[in-house]
Amino acid sequence: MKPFEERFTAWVDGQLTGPDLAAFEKELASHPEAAAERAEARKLGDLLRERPAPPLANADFFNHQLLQRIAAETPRTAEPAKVRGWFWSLPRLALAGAACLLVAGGLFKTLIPAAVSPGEKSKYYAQVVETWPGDETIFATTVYNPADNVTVVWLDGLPYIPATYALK
Amino acid sequence: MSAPSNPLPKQAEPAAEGPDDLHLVARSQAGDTAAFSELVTRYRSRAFSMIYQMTRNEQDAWDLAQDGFVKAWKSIGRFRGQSSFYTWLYRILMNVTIDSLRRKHIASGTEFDDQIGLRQIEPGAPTAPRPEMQPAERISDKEVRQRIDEAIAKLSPEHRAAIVMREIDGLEYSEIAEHMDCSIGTVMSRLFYARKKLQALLKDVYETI
Amino acid sequence: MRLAALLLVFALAVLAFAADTPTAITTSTTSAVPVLRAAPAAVDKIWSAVVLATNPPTPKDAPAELREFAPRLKRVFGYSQFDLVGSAAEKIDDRTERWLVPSQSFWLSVKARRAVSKETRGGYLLNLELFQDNRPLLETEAKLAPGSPLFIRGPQYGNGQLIIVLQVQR
Repeated sequence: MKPFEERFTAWVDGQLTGPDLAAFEKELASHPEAAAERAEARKLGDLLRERPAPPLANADFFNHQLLQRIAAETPRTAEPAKVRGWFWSLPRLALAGAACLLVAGGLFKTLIPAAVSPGEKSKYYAQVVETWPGDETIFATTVYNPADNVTVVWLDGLPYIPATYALK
Repeated sequence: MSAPSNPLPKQAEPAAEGPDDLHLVARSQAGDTAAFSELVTRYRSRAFSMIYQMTRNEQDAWDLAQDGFVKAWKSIGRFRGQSSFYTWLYRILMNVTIDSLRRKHIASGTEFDDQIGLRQIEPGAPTAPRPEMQPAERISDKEVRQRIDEAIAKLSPEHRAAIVMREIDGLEYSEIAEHMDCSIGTVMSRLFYARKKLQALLKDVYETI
Repeated sequence: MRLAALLLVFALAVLAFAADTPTAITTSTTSAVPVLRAAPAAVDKIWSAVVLATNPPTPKDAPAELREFAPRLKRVFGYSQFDLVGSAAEKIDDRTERWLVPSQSFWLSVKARRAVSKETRGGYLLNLELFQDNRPLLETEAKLAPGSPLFIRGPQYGNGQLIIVLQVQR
């Protein structure tokens, strides 16, 4: 049998019918205040519904602000560079060229990785640069396990999920 | 006793439900912010109203409605049309609001004790001792709103959500359970205790208006 | 002046030549201001899985998708059996947001850009957001490359633990 609270709620909301209703009303014979309780619960509902929320003020501004926020938070693909007029004089271009040569050589040497040969074992491990927990109740700790070459982010503060909760 | 009818006013379904919404959703999924803005226009008032009923604060309701719509935009690719767009959106808005309320009460260091005032209450017992009342005294509408705000603020986010969804938005138990990701029995239990608490806090209010 | 112009052309040629290597960056030579684009590479994917780790009396072997990770999962978390709740893989597009949905309850938003430091060996800098239903659990910036997975220990589920596994696959 369902708990009293569930049946009482269903009774207040007019959700009990037939034999369930008859049985519950029989049980309520020993609770003389029940009818008054139900009347009060319905008055409470009326009280809450009679005072609706204020209207959304400046509704168009709401959209405007929202779209600005979406634009700021949505990643954009790189825009194609605009073609400019010829800004560089020849001497400036020449100097830029010389500097480019030095920088390109240096960058190529230090930053562009060589192709990984098939048999070479990766010496790289996953690196977590920064974490931001979803809310204040969650804590994240990052640990690198060198023996297994794996990085783990431990999340604490997550509520337990019962096995009855469908994951798939 | 005959079965009482307790019809709850259900919010009118949005006029533009159906193909129009789905068409706008499809365009939004393709990155069309103008289409998403049209969806926002259709549902912003309902979103604000629902969140206001939970938070009882206009600024908070504004901010959380914005947060909810941003979240909806970011996850619109996951909308598969298995429910109406507003049903899907409603769940996002409710979760954003509940999360915010939880964070606030953690930050404030206070606890929601939904059992306050209920320790001595047995099923069927009067909800509160009748206060001494001045017969001629009536509470102004502003005071009523304030008392309602204070009373709802004393409920935990989950109890608040159950009461708002049932009493104000007129949702069925199964719909509330789906939005709150809990069983129907839990919804009914939460309604029971939320009503008890609000009745205890507001009894003098609805007896004098 | 002629020498300077020659040096400029040579510099551009060096950079263009570097584009032949798969992990290099390229510059466009068609406009006055170069536009950086990632060079086409073998299709890299970000693979994710939701794993349920438990300690039953008689543990069974890990499914094929998890065999690569099972020994490490066992040593790191101490569980003996690993079941695959779900997995998902998405092609990595530079700077485009992708959604990984390994299960109905746990899903990720992934934004990637190719990492250029030598140490990453052709990996990616990822901005990852992990969600449980609609609740954000974690946002992280991580550098991932093939061969080095990232494990995220999630909530306890029933008698076990949920673990999210992420790896770049080539």
